[in-house]
Amino acid sequence: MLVADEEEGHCMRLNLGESYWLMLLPALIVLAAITFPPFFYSIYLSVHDVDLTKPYLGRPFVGVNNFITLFQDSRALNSFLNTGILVGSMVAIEFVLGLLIALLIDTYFPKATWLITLIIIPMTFPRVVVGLVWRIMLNPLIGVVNYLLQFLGLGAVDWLADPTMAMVSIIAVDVWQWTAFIVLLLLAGFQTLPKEPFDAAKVDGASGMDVFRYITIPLLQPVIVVALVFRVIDALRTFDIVYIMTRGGPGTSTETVDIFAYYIGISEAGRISYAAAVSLVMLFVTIVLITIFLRFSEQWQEEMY
Amino acid sequence: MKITKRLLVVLMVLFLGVSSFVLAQERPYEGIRLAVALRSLPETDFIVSKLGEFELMTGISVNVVTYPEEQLREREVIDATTGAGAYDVIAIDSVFIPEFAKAGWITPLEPYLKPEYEVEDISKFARDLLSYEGTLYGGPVYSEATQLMYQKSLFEDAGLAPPQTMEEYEEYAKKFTQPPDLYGVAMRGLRGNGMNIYIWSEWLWSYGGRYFDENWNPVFNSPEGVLATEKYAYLLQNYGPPGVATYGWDDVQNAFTTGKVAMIIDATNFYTRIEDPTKSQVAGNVGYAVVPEGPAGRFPGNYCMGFAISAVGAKTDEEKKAAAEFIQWATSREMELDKSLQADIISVTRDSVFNDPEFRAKFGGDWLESTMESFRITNPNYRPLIEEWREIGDRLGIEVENVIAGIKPAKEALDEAAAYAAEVLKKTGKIK
Repeated sequence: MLVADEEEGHCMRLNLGESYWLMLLPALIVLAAITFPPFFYSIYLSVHDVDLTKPYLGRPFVGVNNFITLFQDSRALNSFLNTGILVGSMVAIEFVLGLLIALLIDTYFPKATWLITLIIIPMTFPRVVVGLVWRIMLNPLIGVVNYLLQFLGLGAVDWLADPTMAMVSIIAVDVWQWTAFIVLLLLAGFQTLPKEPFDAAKVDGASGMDVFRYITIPLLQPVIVVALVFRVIDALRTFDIVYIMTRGGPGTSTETVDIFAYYIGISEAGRISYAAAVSLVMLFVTIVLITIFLRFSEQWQEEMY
Repeated sequence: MKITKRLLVVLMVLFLGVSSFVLAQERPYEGIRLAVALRSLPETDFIVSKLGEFELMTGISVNVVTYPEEQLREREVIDATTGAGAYDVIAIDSVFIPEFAKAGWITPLEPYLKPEYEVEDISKFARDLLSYEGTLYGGPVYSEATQLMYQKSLFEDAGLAPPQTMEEYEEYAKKFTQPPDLYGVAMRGLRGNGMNIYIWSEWLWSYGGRYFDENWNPVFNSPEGVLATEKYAYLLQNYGPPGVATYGWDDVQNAFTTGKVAMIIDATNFYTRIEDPTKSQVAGNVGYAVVPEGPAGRFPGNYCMGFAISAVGAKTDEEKKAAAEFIQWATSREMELDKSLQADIISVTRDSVFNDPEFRAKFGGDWLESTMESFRITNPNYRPLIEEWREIGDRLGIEVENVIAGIKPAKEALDEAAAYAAEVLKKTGKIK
């Protein structure tokens, strides 16, 4: 659990004593072995100028030059902005939709497991497949989406070649695939809620909205935090769907940080040092975001009780 | 009895000795293992299917590693930069030959060529594409030029001949555009040095623009270049199917095979797919012609994929020789003719195959004429053969896509790409 419970932690220390660390050790060693070398190597890369396809240029030390370049490069800044827009809208829409669907299911069909199965089907598809299938369905000339629109008497839409619509399409496809993740977590959360507060509220004559606002949400808060953190981290790494559907285009209008780093580092150029710098900045932003978010939610929880 | 038995034994021993001697003579590379990195194409699939013959003939055992189109180059770059050297022979796009040769990742093929390989028989442009600083580095597996393909019935009904000039091309594109049933043209809009830039370069050259001046300063943002880009974008925006700004070659092909597009300019090897009645609604109804002429001339594009010896993988002299042996076998005249006649593959790289009576009987007509003429007049530097090409071409591709999608005006977009190109060329020392 991300939000530590004081008492629970105390119990664990009592029972396990010294072996607490010993039992964590193997996992820590493996984690360190697979995360530290690449991490330190990317720091090394980011302060040098290494070009993969131009070994004859050597590997000069350039200090923070790559980071300075980043803040002057409109394409790089644009990719950070795009990632922000994508992650923000994807997670927000998925959360609201997911909460509504979870509430609906919990209230009206609490026993309908088939419904849950149905909802999580999109989640089981590999993202590359999702990207490809939607790309074909959104094709203005031969795709089924525009065919249906025209059938209904509406105009054809240039889904992936218009800068705004391309962004909307990607967000829509991600929402289509990952809303179910929020639904699943929240449903599991609903089922762990104690009954007593709800009965008490009913006796006190609280309205449905009040119950939701003052009992359901606070009790569900730890689950909500986990769901959001997971989705945000996952959404920050959005690559496959964008790469397959638009390649970051048209132009650079859907180019995310990951796609930009990939292009500049290995695909269109060999500027691996610059790509490492971009990735490090992205890592820094992610850590800061998640830390702020967790602090905020801890505070929130304290205020609630 | 005894004598016959003895004689028999002696004869057997002699026979065994002689035959192993003969085998040793014919299989000089016995025991050598070659790893070949390639991508799956009808061409390479055919070569792979014949590998048994090569192994039997030479004693070399060949291990093929197949990657998808976009991963192949990355794998090869990673293999070379890490020094892993997992591949002895690599399949490589012609535009990356200078990059790989300059980095020292591939070994010249020229010193290993045998007379029976008949290197002169390979189309001149293909040899140029696979060379760096005058030395041949690769044997061509596949080559193509770009040409005009059009729906014959539409032109016949309208009483028109295929467009000869850029003006006619635009005029006819306008004439045929009747959305949503028919669009005048479809061409690549998707970013990439091998995507939109592959076709856009024709406009650049045709309208009198060029990539660099004598001192390697990028000049594709000249007034000619801007006009060319505006013309290209105008055609696609007004006479192209919706979404054309992000069309890759496969989208162009798909759109054309649905019969909803009157004319396309793309690779000569589209022939196989667009003439296949099971996959194409325009099969049998396609006319072929050399690309239309602009104010500065006709400029069909070109591309070639070849096999090259990896300098990182094939380190010993023996390995290099074996790798060269494989390349010469895989890209020999016989192989090419077999590919065409047995598997209907038309990405021909050798003049003698074009002139083969059997080949002509099978694929003759306007496709053959137009393809041969395009091969003859195409400029090897259509996309500049420099080691910085990938970086410059891809950046340019983004900006051209920006123009087609209506995000930026042509001048601003090209200026940005030119500034980036200048930066790259300064870094490598081409611009002093």
